[in-house]
Parts: sequence; structure tokens; C-alpha cells
Amino acid sequence: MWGQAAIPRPPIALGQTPDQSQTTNWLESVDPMQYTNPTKVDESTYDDDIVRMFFGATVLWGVVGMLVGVVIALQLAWWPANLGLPWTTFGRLRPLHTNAVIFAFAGNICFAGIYYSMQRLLKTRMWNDMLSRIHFWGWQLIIVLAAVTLPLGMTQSKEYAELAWPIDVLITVIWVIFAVNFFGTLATRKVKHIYVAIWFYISFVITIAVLHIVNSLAVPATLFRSYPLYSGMTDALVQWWYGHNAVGFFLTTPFLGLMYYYLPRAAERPVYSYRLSIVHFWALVFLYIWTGPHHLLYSGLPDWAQTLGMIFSVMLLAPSWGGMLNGLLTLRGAWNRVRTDPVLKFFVVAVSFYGMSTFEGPMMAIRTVNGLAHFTNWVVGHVHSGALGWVGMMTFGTLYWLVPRLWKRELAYPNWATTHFWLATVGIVLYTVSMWAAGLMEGLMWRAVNDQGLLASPAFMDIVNRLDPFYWMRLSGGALYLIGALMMSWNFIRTIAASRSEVQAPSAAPAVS
Amino acid sequence: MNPVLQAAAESISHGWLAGLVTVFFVAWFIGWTWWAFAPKNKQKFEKAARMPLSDGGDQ
Amino acid sequence: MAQTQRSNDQRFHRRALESKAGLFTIVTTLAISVGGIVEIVPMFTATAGPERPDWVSPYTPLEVAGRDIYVREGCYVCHSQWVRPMRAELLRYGEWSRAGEYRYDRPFLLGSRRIGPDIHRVGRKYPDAWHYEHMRDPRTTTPGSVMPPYPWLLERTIDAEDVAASVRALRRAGTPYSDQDVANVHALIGTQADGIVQRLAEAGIQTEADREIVALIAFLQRLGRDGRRAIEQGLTSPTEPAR
Repeated sequence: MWGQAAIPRPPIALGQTPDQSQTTNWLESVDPMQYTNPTKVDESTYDDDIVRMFFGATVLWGVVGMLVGVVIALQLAWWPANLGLPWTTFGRLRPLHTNAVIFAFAGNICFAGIYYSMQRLLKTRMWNDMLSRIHFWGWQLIIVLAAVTLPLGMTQSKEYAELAWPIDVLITVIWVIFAVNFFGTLATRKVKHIYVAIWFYISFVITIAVLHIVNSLAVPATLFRSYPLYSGMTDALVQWWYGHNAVGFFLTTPFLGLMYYYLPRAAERPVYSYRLSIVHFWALVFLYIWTGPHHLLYSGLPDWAQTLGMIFSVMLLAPSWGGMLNGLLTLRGAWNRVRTDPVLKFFVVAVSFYGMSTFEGPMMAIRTVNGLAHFTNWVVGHVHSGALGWVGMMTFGTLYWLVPRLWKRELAYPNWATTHFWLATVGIVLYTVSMWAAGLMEGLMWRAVNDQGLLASPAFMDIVNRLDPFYWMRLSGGALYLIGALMMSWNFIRTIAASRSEVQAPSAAPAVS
Repeated sequence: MNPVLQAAAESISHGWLAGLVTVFFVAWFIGWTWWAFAPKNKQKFEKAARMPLSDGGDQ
Repeated sequence: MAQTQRSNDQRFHRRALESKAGLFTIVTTLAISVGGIVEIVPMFTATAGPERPDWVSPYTPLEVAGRDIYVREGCYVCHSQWVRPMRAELLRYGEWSRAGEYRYDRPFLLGSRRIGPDIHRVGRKYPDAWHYEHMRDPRTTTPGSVMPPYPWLLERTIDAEDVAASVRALRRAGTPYSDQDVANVHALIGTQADGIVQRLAEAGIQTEADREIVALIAFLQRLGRDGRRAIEQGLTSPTEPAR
């Protein structure tokens, strides 16, 4: 009796010939659930209400963040759009845009995606439902506080870390609550093996905590104003160690986690090479941290730090493309399905944009290339090919995939999803190409010197005024992208409303047509 | 030798330490890559790759 | 007996499971902390860190007030304070920005976009009246500018007690303000502001010493001057721009 449930020995000792009775399947043999309930876990054990809550927050804040983006894009093309009010000038709305789309839009989809996939991968309900709700409402409170304080000018000026110090404290508290619930679930899991997606979630939870705390160390002057512990170039380095890793561990690793779960689920095929994901996970997590100084090339930062930042940014190309290849090659033999399934369309283009922007990044991190690109609109093009392409489309794909499973209903307007896809794709191309053109032109004109050794365009304003057509083109791209998101939101509202009005038991989850 | 490279070479302190650390990390990288791709783990990881599909959630 | 046996088993399994997740988390934490430590810790040393010269001094209380306004309005979103060691930037902006100039910049305001020009060498480049007009309506001084107007800076006033709170916090954070500096912030603000009001009056602009625009002008007119003086006196590190 006791002997049967023996403690699992390593599957096959070296040199020992595998004998069928002895070969205990590594995965099943250690599943302690063999004591209590069957491996097939029914849906009710999972807490999907919290996923629906984060789902709603994602859609809401996504539209808000993109709307602010379109407004500030208009302000650059046509300054009267600043409305002459302190609360609506570009200087105060740009941080609102970045905080909204990163922490509110991307943040909420990461939580929705993690809560849904983690419970299923571990066949375990979240460790504590109350902590999940505190995490949800706490995070939405942080977002509302940001939406109030940033337009009022309460900012610490450090990009993606602008929020006033009391909000920084609240972020830390809520993040710890999320981490406790996250690791509690991991510790009480019913399945031994931790799937690759969860490695990425773990790096997300751990690294964001480290980055946020170290970069937020500050001395309060008043209730809403504080000064950082660091100053000068050290403050700059700590900020951009945080800044680029906010991209790395808030917009990349959790989304790679989403890719490793939702892409195989949508394609109904296992990921291309699980073993490649082991290699590229550790390389990505280790290398990403070093890349901060590529924001400070040609600055007062010591040369050794600048060079480290540059070299590690170039090395980062390898693990980034490891992730891209693993994603795209998962569809080998199933590419015909991409033609019919909007979710796969979103995922494929998202992973492609991930490949593009993580190729462009290392190139821009090379010192001499950076000398041309830095400060220009080219950087904005790079950022948005990653943000609109990778983050945005991974989010849309995940949202469209989740709807029929969370509300047991077909999309109200199934073919709107494909329309949204094309609006988003064209929007991104318009946005990125216009910013590349504007950035290259700016960079070249700033540095152009004629044969007398004088500046070819000494008046800075001459260059600024040439940017107008590109700013309008970018605005049109951003507007298309926003229209797509609005269509998605309306589609979801009608779908959810319809599912609420229905009474009878939901049928098996229909695949998205 | 190119003066810029010359200056750079002379400015490096603790060059041996950097070399040692590089060798260590490269060795570690090769080690875990070999472990990941070792034939003995092949079957285990292929099974792990199917986890999202086999959770029976709503198949 | 059977029951305790089973719970022992489950407890053993639980520990085996937890240890794997725990181990994984620990190794991940190690992996993500190497880069940060190797790049940030040396910044606090004299040899590997940025230069900390004595030819730069902290901002005066009025300049601190102006800097807080600069941060509040998000000026750093469009303007950089960072002249790069490149030929074209020397021609367009002046001497490239040395690391030591930022010693007391808390927070740093290098900026990451140039929607507007770099302003690290703007100190005393334009008269105070130019800045006054430029903030009131940028197109009066710079036709074609996309910069929004900031007319409220001409009306709103600074509160000396609030500035004192800033100076105290900056000192706690490490900026070497003396006790006198902290004690008579009011007086220090007064004398510097009166100078600006007087120069504006000469240019025909009537304003009060406690207006936010006066503090902002004080800060803008200070930008890059410590560095420029040190470069002229040959005090800065001799490393020539390698580009």
C-alpha cells in the first residue's frame, strides 16, 4: 500500500537499461493528485471571474491609453490641440499616455493572461481569491490615481516611473500581494512540471519588483513631490536600467509567457522547440538587464558602462529571435489556419513585429548608429513597432481567444475581428514608416555640415517645420489603430451583453470562426 | 596599432577578471544548452511542451 | 496509521514541488541581479563612477523652484539637457556636456527626445525678457514653434515655504546645502528674484518677484554655466571627444 506510492526515483539511472515496469513516466508518476482526484480537472475549480475583471480593465484602459496617444500625436502636428490648459499640454499628457498603455493596458492583459493560463497549467485554483481581488482593485486604483495626478503635474520626471511617491508605495504593496498569491499558487500546484510560460511569469513578478523598488528610492519633500536618492549620471543610469527593463520585463517576458501558452492553444499544436525555450529564456533574462546604458550613449556616463550597454544590447538579438522563431515555427504545417483564424493572424503578426523591433533595437544600440537615431522620431518608430505590433497585437489575439471561453459565446460580430486586424496592421505600418522617415531626416539634418565646416541647417526650427507631414501621417496610423480597438471593444460589449441575457446552460466553447 | 584601440587597451583595469567572468559565463551557457538539448531529456521536454494542450480545460 | 503515512507522502511531495519552484525563482533572481549590480555599484566609486568635480555647485533655492516647475510642466519631454561630443552638436549648441555638470541634478533631466532644441547651454544665451515672452507665447520669439504657450506661469506664484521643503529634502537626499542656505531660503529667493524683475523692467516687462516665471527664468539662465566656466578655465577632464 505505502510502497506503491513510492517516492519517484530519477526516471532512468545512467547505465541502467530501461525496463518497462521501472520506467516511471516522469510527469505522471510524481503527480500527487493521484491520491485525491482524477487528472481531468473541471472548469469550476478555476477562478475565471478575476480573469473577466482584468479582461474588462484591459479593454477599457487600452482605449483610454490609445486615445491619449492620438491626442498627443495631434498636439505635435497642430499645437493648438494643447487647448491652452495646464492639464492638457503635451508635457503632462505624454507621461499619462505611456503609463496608461504600459501599466494599465499591457499590465491588465498580463494579469488576465496569467490568472487564466497559470491555473490551467498547474491544475490549481489561484491560492487566495481575496488576494486576487485586492490585486485587481488595487491596480485599478493606481491607474485612476495616475490619471488624476499626472495631468496635475505631480511627476518625478523619470520615464515610466513618473508617479508621485505615495503611488509608488501603493504599487509596491499591490505588487507584493500579487506575488504572494502568485507564488502561493505555484507552491500548492497539482502538476510538478512548471511550463515555460510560467518561467516568464516568474521573471515578470520578480524583476519588476526589484526594478520598481530600486528606481523609486526617493526622499519626500511634500505629499506629492520627492527627490531621488541618486543624482546626475548615476540617477540617469539607474533610471535607464529600470526604463529599458520595464520594457524587458513588463512588455517582453510576460508577453512571451502569453505567447508560449496562447499561441499553442490557438494553433492547437505544441510549441516548436521546448528545449530552445529553455536556452532563450535564461539568455534573455540574463542579458536584458545589462542593456540600460544604450539610452545614454555619448553622454557623461563612463565609457565602460556605455560599451557594456551597447554590447549586451547587440547580444540580446539572439535570445529575442529565439523566442520569435519558437513562436512562428509552432505554426509549421498549420499556416493555412492563419488565413481563417483572426486570433492566429494577430499572434503571427505580433511575433513578427517582436522579431522586427528586437532586430532594430540592437542595431540602434550600436554607438555610431545611436549617434544618428538618438533623440529623433526614429526611436518613436522603434518603440511603437514593439508596442503596437508586439504588445498590442498579442493582447488583441489573447482577448479574442479568451472571449468565447470566458463568456461561452460566439463573437457578436465575428468578421469585425479580421477588420480590426487589418486596421491595426495598416495603422502600425503608417505609424512606423512615418516615424522612420521623420527620424532619419531629423538626425541627418541636425548633423549636416557643409564644406565650409558650418551647419547646413543652423536654424532648429527649419527642421521642426519639415516634420509636419510625418506627424500627420503618424496621427492617421494611430487613429486607424484606435478605431480598430474601438471596434473590438464594441464587439466585446455586445458579445458579453448577449451572453448575460441568455439563461440556458452554455454549450461547449465554440472555436472562434 | 590604432591609437584609439591602444588607449582603450591601456585603460582597461582588471582585464583578467573580465576574461575569467566571460569564460565562466560562456561555459555555463554551453553547459545548460547541452543539458537542454541532451538526448536523455528529449522525451521529457516534448511531453512538457504539450502541457497547455493537455490541461483538458475545454477540449 | 495509513492517514499519517499519506500526509507524510504529500508533505514530502509538496516540499519536492516547492523546492523546484523555489529554486527556479532564486536562480532567476540571481540571473536578473548580475547586470544591475555590475553596472550600478561601480557608479558609486570614485574611479569607475562619473566625475564629481568641485567646480559645480548646487542650484540656488530660486533655481530649485524653477526646476520643480520645469519638471511639473514636463519640459524634459521635449527638451534635452545633453550636448553630445559630436562636431555638429558643438557647432549647434556649444561645448559638449561633461559628466560633472550633472552632479547636483536631482532628478537628472537629460531628456530622451529633441522635439525642441537641446537647452543645456542656454544659460544667459537669451535675455530674461526673451524667456518671459517665449513662455507667454512661443511663436512671438520663435515663429513656427510647435511649443504650447504657458501663460499661467506669468500669473501663478511660488511659496517660499514650499521651496524650503524642497531644499530640505534635497539636502536629506545628499545635495550639500548648508544650514544657512536652508535657514534663509526666503532671503535667497528674494535677492535673486529681484535681479530678474529688475532686468525684466528694463526691457519694459512689469512682473512680481514671486511669480513662477521668475523662478523658471532663474533656472533656465543657470543651465550649463558651471560647465562652461570650468571648460574655459581648463578645469574639466582633458578627454577630447573621440568622435
